[in-house]
Amino acid sequence: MNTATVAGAASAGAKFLGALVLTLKVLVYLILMVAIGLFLMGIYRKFSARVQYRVGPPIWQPYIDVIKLLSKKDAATKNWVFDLGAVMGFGGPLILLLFLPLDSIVGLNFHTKGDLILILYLAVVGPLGFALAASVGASPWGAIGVGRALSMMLGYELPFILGILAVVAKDGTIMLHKVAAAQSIWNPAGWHYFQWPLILAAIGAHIGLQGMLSEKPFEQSVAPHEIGSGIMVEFGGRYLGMMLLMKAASLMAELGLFAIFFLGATTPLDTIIKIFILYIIAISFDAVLGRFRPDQAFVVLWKWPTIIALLGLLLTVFA
Amino acid sequence: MAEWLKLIDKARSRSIWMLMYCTGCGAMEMPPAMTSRFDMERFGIMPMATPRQADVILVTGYVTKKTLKRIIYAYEQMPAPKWLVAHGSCPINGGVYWDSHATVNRLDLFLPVDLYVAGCMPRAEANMKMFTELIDMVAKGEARGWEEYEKNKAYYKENQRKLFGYDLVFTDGRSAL
Repeated sequence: MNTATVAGAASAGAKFLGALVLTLKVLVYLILMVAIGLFLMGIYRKFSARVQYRVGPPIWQPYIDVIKLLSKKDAATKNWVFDLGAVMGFGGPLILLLFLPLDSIVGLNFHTKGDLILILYLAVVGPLGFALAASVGASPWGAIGVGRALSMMLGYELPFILGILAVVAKDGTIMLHKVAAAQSIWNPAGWHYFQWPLILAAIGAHIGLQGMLSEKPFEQSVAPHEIGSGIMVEFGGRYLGMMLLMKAASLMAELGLFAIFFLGATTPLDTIIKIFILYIIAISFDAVLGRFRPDQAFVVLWKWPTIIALLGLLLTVFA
Repeated sequence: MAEWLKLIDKARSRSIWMLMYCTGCGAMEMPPAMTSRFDMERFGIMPMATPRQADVILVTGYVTKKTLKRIIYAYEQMPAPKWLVAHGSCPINGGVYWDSHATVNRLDLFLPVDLYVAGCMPRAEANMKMFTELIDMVAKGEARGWEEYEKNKAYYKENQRKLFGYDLVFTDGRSAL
C-alpha cells in the first residue's frame, strides 16, 4: 500500500467522522430546542390556569403528554399522504430552527447562512405539511380547519412581512445575522423595536406574530369547541405527539425569528431570554381574550396591523 | 424493560385526556370538576374534542339503542390503551329509565367498562374520586378493558348483533350509523 492511498483513506475517515459529529450536533441541538419549546408550553398551561384561579398542571405536563402520546397504538391505518404530510409538517420548523443564532450553543454556525427569502419559504413548510395531512383525513372538521389555517396564514403573513421589510430597508441587508448585529444585545434603545419609525413596523409585525402562533384572538384553525379542534381532528396517538413536538419547535422558530429582527437576538442565551419574554406577552393576551370569527380575524389582520406596519415601512423608506 | 413500562404507565396515568359522551344529565356535573373549585387539570386530565385524541370515554347518562351505536363507533376510533367509564346509574342498570323501550340497561354487555360510578347524578366530589381511582388503576396497569375487548370481541359483537339485528361494520372504514 503506497502513501497516497493511506492518506486518501485517512482523509475519507476524517470526512466521515466530521459528518458524524455534525449530525450528532444537529440532533442534540434540535432535541434541546424542542425540549425548551415543550417547557414553554408547560408555562402556558400553568399561566392560563393561574389566570383562571386554578392550581393548574405541573410545569412538566407537556413532557408527560408527549411520552404518553408516543407510546400509544394507532387505531386506524392512514394512507401514505397522511404520513408524508405529518413528517413534512414536523420537518419544516426543525430546518427553520437551524438558521437561528441559537445553533451556536452546540458550536454550529448555520445561522450565518440564513437569509430572509430562505426563511420565509421554510416558515410555511410546516403549516402546509399539516394542512396536507389534515385535508386527506375523512373528517369535514379537518377540511374546515385547513381552510381557516390557510386563510389565516394569508392574514398574518402580510403585516409580519411588511414589518420585516421595514427592518430590511433600514439595515440594507437580508442576512439574518447582519440584521441582528446591527442592533445592541441588551440595551433596549438599540433594538429595532424601540426606534422611530421602526416601532410602527414592530407593532404591526407583533400583532401578526400572535396570529402566527395561533394564540387567541387568532385561534380559528383549532377552535376545539367549535370545529372539533380543526386541523388536529384526525390526529391521534403518535401523530398527535408529533404535532405537539412540531408545535414546540415552531414556537421556538417563530419567536426566535421575531427576536432576531426586532430585539437584536445574537447569542443563544439572550435569544432564549427574549423568546421567554415574547411568549409571556403572547400568552397574557391569549389568557384574557376571546376568539374572533374567521372573517372578522381576517379583516382585523389586514386592517390595523397591516396599516401600522405599512406606515412604518413608508416612513423608514421615505423619511 | 419492566421499569421502562412502569414509567410509561405512570406517564399514562398522569395525562388522561377524556372524551365526554354526554348523553344525559351527567354533563352538568363535569364543569364543577373542571373549574377552579376542583380543577382536574392538576392531575393532567383534560377534555378533548375528538375520539382520536382521547384516552378515556365517559358515558354520562342513559344509553339508548341509537346512541349506543355512536358510543361503539367512538370507542373503536380511540387509539389503545383506552378506558371506558360508566358514569351514573343509567349505564349501569338503567336508572330511572329501566323500563323504557328505547334504553339499553347494561352498557357492559356491549363494551368493556373499566370503572363504574354510581349515583344519580354523581356529584363533583364523586367525579374527583373516580378520576383518582382511574389514575391509580392506570398507574398499576390494572385498567385493561381494551385488551378484554380485543380478546372477547366475538362475545361483545354477538351481543351488539342481538340488540341491533345486524352487524356494525367498521373494519373497512364505513360505519353502520
